[in-house]
Amino acid sequence: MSEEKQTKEAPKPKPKRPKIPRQPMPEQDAHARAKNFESVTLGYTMEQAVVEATRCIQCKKPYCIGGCPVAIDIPGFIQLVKDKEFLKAAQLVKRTNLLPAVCGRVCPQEEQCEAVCVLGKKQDPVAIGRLERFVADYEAEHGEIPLPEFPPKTGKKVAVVGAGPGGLTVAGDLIQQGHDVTIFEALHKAGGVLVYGIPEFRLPKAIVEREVEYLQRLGVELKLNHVIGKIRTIDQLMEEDGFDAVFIGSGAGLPWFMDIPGENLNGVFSANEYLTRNNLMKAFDFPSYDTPIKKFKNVAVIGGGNVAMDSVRTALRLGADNAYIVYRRGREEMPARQEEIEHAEHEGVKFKNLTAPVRILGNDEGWVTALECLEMELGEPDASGRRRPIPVKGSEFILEMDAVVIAIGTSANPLIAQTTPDLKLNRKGYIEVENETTCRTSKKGVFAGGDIVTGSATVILAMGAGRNAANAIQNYLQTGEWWSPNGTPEN
Amino acid sequence: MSFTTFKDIVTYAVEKEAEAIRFYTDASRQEEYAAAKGTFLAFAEEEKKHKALFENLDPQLVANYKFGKIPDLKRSDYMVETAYRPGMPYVDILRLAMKREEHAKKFYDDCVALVEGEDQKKLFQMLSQEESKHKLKLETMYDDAMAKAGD
Ligand SMILES: Cc1cc2nc3c(=O)[nH]c(=O)nc-3n(C[C@H](O)[C@H](O)[C@H](O)COP(=O)(O)OP(=O)(O)OC[C@H]3O[C@@H](n4cnc5c(N)ncnc54)[C@H](O)[C@@H]3O)c2cc1C
Repeated sequence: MSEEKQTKEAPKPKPKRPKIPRQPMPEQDAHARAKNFESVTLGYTMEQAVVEATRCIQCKKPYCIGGCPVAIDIPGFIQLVKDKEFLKAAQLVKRTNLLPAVCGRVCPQEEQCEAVCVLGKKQDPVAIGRLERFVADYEAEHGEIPLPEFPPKTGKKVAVVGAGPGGLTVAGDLIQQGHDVTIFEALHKAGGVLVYGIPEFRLPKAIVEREVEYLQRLGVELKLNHVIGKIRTIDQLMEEDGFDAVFIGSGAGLPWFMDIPGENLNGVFSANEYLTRNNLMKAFDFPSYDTPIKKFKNVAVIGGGNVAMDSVRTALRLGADNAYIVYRRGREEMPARQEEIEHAEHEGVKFKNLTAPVRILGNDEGWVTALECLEMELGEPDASGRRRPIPVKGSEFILEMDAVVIAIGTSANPLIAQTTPDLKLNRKGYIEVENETTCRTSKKGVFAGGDIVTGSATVILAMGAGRNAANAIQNYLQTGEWWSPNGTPEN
Repeated sequence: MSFTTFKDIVTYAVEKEAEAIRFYTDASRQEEYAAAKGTFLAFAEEEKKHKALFENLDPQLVANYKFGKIPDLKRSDYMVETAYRPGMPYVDILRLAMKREEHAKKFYDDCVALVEGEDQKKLFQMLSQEESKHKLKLETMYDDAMAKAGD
């Protein structure tokens, strides 16, 4: 009797849906990969992608879309993955993102779409970035990107300065509106940071090449080795060469140094130079390619951002015995993506956090021999609540080093501004625009977007700016409407 | 240079601020862009506040001056000297200004050690603390800009 009562009262446990864990990303073994330039992450298999896609609960109000700077229909494409409609999924993503194979690899999803994924409240968020990469790679392997229908030619000419993600997006959008588009790129390869900055092991160059070739198939003209400001000025493009509008997407590639003693020694590089020599000029493949890079035993990379992580991991792959990150703040303050920091740790990079370089020492031949550093400690919180690092008195120490790579930030190259007098800049030297949506500069017919406007940011933000600028240029070419900049807008 | 009276010291400090105002104003004139001009003019304004403060100094004010611990981030202390050049980027402008404050502070600290009278020592300590405040303000601006970039 009592037993019967008990069974009546106890509610039946609901059958729980088994929690599917976030599918891990297959990776090359850390020891092996630290010695080669092949991709670190290998991408999901079809099975893994489908399993991961089933984790998405298809929220009625999907926050993930709002978390994406270009508002990809994330639940939509994930549902297509679940249904094994991979090509359709890729096409859906491409409606709003020209370079999903790139963004799937390098976007900081953990701060964007995945940060707001509802699943993330109780467990790991859906691996949106990995799925984006999967569908883009699947399409690259299995599908030919069909050429879209072309509208009739408008007879309007648009010049794009810089072939980074911002410029490429503008070109791709405007060529499909029937305009003639020419990209002027200073370097001998298109892609901007995607080819000269981010290393092969994180972003294979073939992916970028494929996208650039696609733009050329669409009819975009690409003029490489064309430094605007030297070969032609913006004024000449507009007044003499017949361009009706210009987009400036020249990035922020001018490196900062530390201004400490010893920076002019041999063996000191800006991260830009170090990465460019290796990525673009294939120094790692010397003598097959003719840019040499000396093999250094001990390399210190100064900084804690993505650029620093890319440089230090490159140093390992070029054969350094010891590759250090020297960073003046704590690990939690590093702006680099968490994933990249962890990859660097697994590969054997040595982290010297709360450490500030104060002097680079050299030998009689002018080569780096050591780096003098100071230990730092966090000071009292200031008015903003931030605890800033301050040097610990008498804590100087020496690290033996034969190369130092400086990755503490960049700013805009002033060449275009210097040769375009009526282009307004903000306090930090970046081009001032009316707002993020119109991308109109102070000069009629000239638009700007990406790092040259925001300072160093992200690939997806540069692409978002490119899309906005393309819309604004289209509107300008149709209506001729402009704005009247008055005063200096606040930066 | 000898500082015998309160007035000598104040006159010197005022002249130092006047020099700083001239320096930043000249730099702003040489800049082509409104933005850089604006940065230099803002620095000149800061120095004007100091100049006004020093011009109105009297021994009573110094006696009542509140000393406190101004944190020193020492961002400029390990940097090499830098000179003004037209068109210099924003972070370089900050570095230049930080270095100037570092020198000014160090000068007054040296004076504290050199003079004998308590009142004079106190006056120099006050001047040093005022420069430390400027240095901290600039170094905080600089540190924020650099932290974002990965430094
Ligand atoms: C090493 C490194 C790692 C990074 N890692 C990441 C990451 O993991 N995730 C992420 O989202 N972002 C990352 N970023 C940032 C990201 O790459 C940039 O924010 C993005 O590329 C900016 O795009 P953009 O089109 O504005 O400019 P860029 O990519 O800088 O392209 C600008 C182009 O303009 C050309 N150019 C410049 N001046 C002229 C001229 N006068 N005439 C003609 N052409 C000119 C340049 O040669 C370049 O090709 C990284 C950056 C670096 C340097």
